[in-house]
This record gives sequence, C-alpha cells and structure tokens, in this order.
Amino acid sequence: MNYYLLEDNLIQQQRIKSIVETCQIFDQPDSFLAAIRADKQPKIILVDLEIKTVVNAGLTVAKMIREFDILSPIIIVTTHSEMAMLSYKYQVSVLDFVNKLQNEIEFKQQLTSALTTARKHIQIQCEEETDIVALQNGKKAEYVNLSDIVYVTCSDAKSHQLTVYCEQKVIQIRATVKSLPILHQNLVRIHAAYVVNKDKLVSFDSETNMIVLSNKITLPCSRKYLKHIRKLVETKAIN
Amino acid sequence: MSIFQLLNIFNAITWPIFESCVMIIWFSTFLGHYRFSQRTLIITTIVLYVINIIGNSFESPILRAVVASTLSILVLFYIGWRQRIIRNKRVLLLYTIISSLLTYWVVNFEMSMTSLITVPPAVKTSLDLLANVLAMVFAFVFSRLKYEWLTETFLERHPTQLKILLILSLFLRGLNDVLAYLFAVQHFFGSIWWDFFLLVIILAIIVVPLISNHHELLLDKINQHDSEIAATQSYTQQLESKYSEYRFFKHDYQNILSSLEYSIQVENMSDIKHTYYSVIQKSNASLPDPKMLNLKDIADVNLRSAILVKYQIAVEKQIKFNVEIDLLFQVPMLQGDLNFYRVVGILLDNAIDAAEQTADATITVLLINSEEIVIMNSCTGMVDLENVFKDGYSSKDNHNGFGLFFVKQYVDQHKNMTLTTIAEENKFIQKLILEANS
Repeated sequence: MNYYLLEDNLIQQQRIKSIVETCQIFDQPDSFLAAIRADKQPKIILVDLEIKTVVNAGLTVAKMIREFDILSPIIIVTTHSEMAMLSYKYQVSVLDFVNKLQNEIEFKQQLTSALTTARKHIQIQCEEETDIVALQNGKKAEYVNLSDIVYVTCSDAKSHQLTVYCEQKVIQIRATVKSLPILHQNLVRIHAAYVVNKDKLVSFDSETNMIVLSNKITLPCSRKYLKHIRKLVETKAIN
Repeated sequence: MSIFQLLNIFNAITWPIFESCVMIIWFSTFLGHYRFSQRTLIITTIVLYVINIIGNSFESPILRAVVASTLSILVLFYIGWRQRIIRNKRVLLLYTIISSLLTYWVVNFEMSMTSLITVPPAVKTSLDLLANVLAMVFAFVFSRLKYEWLTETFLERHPTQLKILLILSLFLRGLNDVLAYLFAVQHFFGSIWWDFFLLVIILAIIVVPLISNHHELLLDKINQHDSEIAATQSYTQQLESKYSEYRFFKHDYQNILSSLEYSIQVENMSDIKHTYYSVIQKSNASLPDPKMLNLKDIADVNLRSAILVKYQIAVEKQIKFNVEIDLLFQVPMLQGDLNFYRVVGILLDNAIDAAEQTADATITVLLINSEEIVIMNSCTGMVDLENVFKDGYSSKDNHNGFGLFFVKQYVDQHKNMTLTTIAEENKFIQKLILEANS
C-alpha cells in the first residue's frame, strides 16, 4: 500500500509522518499529481485543503486526481472545518475529513480510523475487480459499479426514463435502453424494456420464458432475444 | 357540369379526411401539443375516415346524426387512454368532446348559413369544401400558437368544476346530435344564433378553467411572497442572535487570554495548560456552528428565499438542514422562472416530509458549480421509485400527489435539465442537473 501526502506546512508534515511512516510527502501539487499518475499500485491519498494560502487548492487537486483515478480513497486534512464538506464528499467522493485543530490524541485516532476504512475499500476493490460503468444521464454520467447492477428497466417507453436496480439502491436516470448493452458486455438485453447484468442471471424457465435474477426477481424474455439468453444460461451452468 | 360532378365526388371523399384530421389536430392541441407517433396518426385517421363514411351512409337520419360523432369521440378517447397522455379519464373525455364539438362547428355553421339562403348546388359544394379547409386552417393555426393550456392539473384539483364542464359539454354534444337529426329530417333549418351560442359555450368551457388557473397562480404567488418575507425576517433574527453569541465569545476569549498572559509571566506551566485546554473546550462548546446557512452565494434572490422558506419549516420540525455552496450559484436562464422555484420547493417539501419521520432527520442541499442542485434526505426504508413520479401517487394520506408529477413534467419540458433520483436504504437523493448555455 502506498501513501501520498500533499502538505506544505513542515510541522504538519512531521505530524502525519509520525502516524503514517511510509508516507511520501509533497508540497507541490504538480509533482504530487505526477507521482500519483505514475503509480499503478493501490494507494491512499491525503490532501491538505489549503496549499500556499489558497483555500480551495486541495479540492482542485482532488478533482484533477479524479480525472484519471476514480477509485483511490482520498482523505482531506484541513483546518477549515467550516468548508462545504458534504459538497466535496459528493463531488470528488472524498472518503473522510480529518480536522488538524484537534489535539494530538484525537487527531491520531481520527486519521488512523480513516486510513483503516480506506484500506478496507481498497481490499474490496481488489477482490471484486470491479468495473465502473458510466451510465449516460443527459449530458453527464452517473458512475455505478458493474457488480452492483442487477437489472435496468424503462418505466415508460416514451419518456426515456430508466430505472437502474442495484443491490443496495435504485437509480433513476435519463437514458435509453438501447444505449446500455454498448456500455459493457455484461449488460444483456432480454426484452424491449429490460437489460440485465448477466452475472446476476440465476435460471431460465423455458416454458414461461422468464428469467430469474439473483435477487429473486423474475423478468420476461422476449422471443427476439431468447436464443441468446438460452446460450448464456447454458454457458453459465457449465461454468 | 362534369367539373361540378367531379367536385362533388372529391368533396364526398375528402370530407371525412378533413374531419378526422381537424379532430386529431384539436385533440393534440388540448393534450398540450402532444406529438402522436406517425403510426398512431395514420391508423387514427383511417379509423376516423371509415367511421365517418359508415356514419354518413346510414339510411336512418337518427343513425346518421349520432353514430359518426359518438364513435369518433370514443376512438379519440381510446387513443388518449392507451397512450397514457393524461391519466384522468374525465379530463380526457372533456378534451375529446370539445375537440369533436370544435371540429363540427365550422362545417355546421357553413351548413346553416347555406340553408338560410338559397345557393346553386355548385356554389354550395365549393362552400362545403371551403368550410372544411377553413376548419383545418383554424385548427392548425391554434395548434401553431403553442399556447400552454396547462389546465389539466387544475381540472384534476377541482373535481366539481370538471364535473360541471363535462356535463355541459356532454349536453352540448347531445343537443348537437338532436339538431343534426332534426336537420336531416328537415324539421330544423339551422340558426346562426344557435351556432354562435354554441361557439360561446365551447369557448367558455376552454377559457374558464384557464382564467381561474391563472387567478389561482397569482394568489399562490402573493402567498409565497408573504411567507418569503416572514422567512427572511426570522433568518435575520437568527443571524443577529448568532452574532451576539460571537460577541460573547470574543469577550470571554479576551478574559482567558489575559489570564493566560499572567500565567506565562509567572511561568506557571500547569495553570497555562489548564487555561489553554479550557479555551479549546470553550471555543468548541460556545462557538456557534459555522455551517449555518450561507445563502449569500445564491445569486438568485427568489431561489434563495425559496430555500429559506423550506429551511424555516424544517427547523421548526427539528430537522437538521444544511446548505452547502462552494462557489457563487448562478443560473441566468432560470432567473425569474416561477415554475423552477416551485420545482425546488416541491423537492424540498418532499425531503422534509420524508425526513420528518426518521430518528436522525437530516436534509442536505448541495449547490454545485451553478449546474447541479442535490437534495439528500434521510427516510425510512427504501422508496419505491417506479411509482413516485406517477400522477396521483402519494406516500401521504390526504395528499393528491401532484408534486413530483409536476416536477417530472417540468423537467421533461426542459431539454437541458435532468433529474436523477437515487433511492438507498434510509437515504433518498434527488439531483437536478442544469446544463446551462446549451
């Protein structure tokens, strides 16, 4: 596990170094970004929000990291507890915030627990080898773990409204059913109104032409896609 | 003579086409300029054409008067119902009857005109054709006006008014059929007064809900303004009380610092330690929460007060309400769009209603880069997304459930706006994404 820290204050650098010994420390955003980009190993990134008295510099850096790396956990270390924390969490999926103004014991506790959570995240990512799918939503995209998606349906053929059923959540976006199978080979169309994640396929009833998914939901298959679905279920059974 | 015959035949063939086209145009205008798919259009036109031909070929005058008009109403109703353009069947029926009345009016008017004065058959036939063309032109012009009728939601909210309008239009339709029968058996020769009377009533049916809708909107606006002023006042009071808290703290702080200085001078380390930690503790306890609403970064005053009003409601219900803005939030294209504020209001209302029922009631509003409004709230269990946007669906009793349906309609009308909804266990997120300048 590699740790990266962007921090321009020497005392704070030492403070964090005493907790995370293997941490690589940078005080320039450019070299920091370059180092992260070059490192393909799993890593945890610590960023100070205020660099050289520019209050929002940390956020800009975090956004730039997210452009090429959407998975590595980012932890923000800051004195500005009044900043729009949730906003950052939401925009660049910051894992946690550690307040520098706390006393040494509290600071160490919070940082260690944040790091533990980060390591857990990385572990889960490594085990699952997840693919992230960018679901087109209007002009923006909604990022979802492929392994999370169970099936997708359109509630109304007219409105281009899609409902994505994930393991733990449901998302409604504006997109077409047609656009989904192009995104990833695991997304398979079974009906004019349904696309399923083929990993979630459990069984197929050839009498009623219904498939059963891992969350026990049954969906109809239309004749057009029957052949393909049968083949899928068969290869699955062999594996 | 042969030209006259040709014209006659041409008229007989095209008459039903005109009638069906005009009817469909009116119908789609009333449905809020709904665009039917080409297939539906063609099939409907053919069906209406056949109905008209069959209806006009009956021997018995009563059948001739009733069958075609009634069947065409049924056909339009069926199509409107199948396509689920409007969910309320009464409103749909009202629209079909009005479109049928309007369709027949122009031709009926021309018929009574020509029956009052005797004209040669050739002129009569060309006048018939002209009337059909005119009816088409009228219908087309009105549909081109792109006027938003938007009386549908209004009618749904006022069932009695809808009932009266519906009965009135049914009565007119019936009367029209009776008159057509009398006309056919030559007991009635048409009256311009009757035609004008009919037109006035039809227009009244269309205009009355329109006017009362506008009236209601105006009242709403006034009420909203009042509540905004009240919210702003109480917000100012809150700011003032926070300010005095800061002043108290400053006062305390200076006292503590001076005692700290004394301890430093006498080099009493344990006293210094004690004072120092008491400052830290005190500043954590007594300093007001800096995350209080920082609404100053919302450029649009109306949006700001819309959020403020809901903030006050949430605070009264003991819900934690956070608004986070990192940059100036400014959407010029939506400045002054009352419906947009209403959409934000509805989303916040729903968030409040859902959060209220949870133990740790929280609502978070994020305004990001002038292009995204995110509303997150705590909720019990997982919300059923399939239904929430349907008209009339509501998780609440004594509630009509127009809110989210209105939001969906509004978002669908705006090409550069998307609404993403995420339902998680105990968490509900609505993202309104605005793609400015596109």
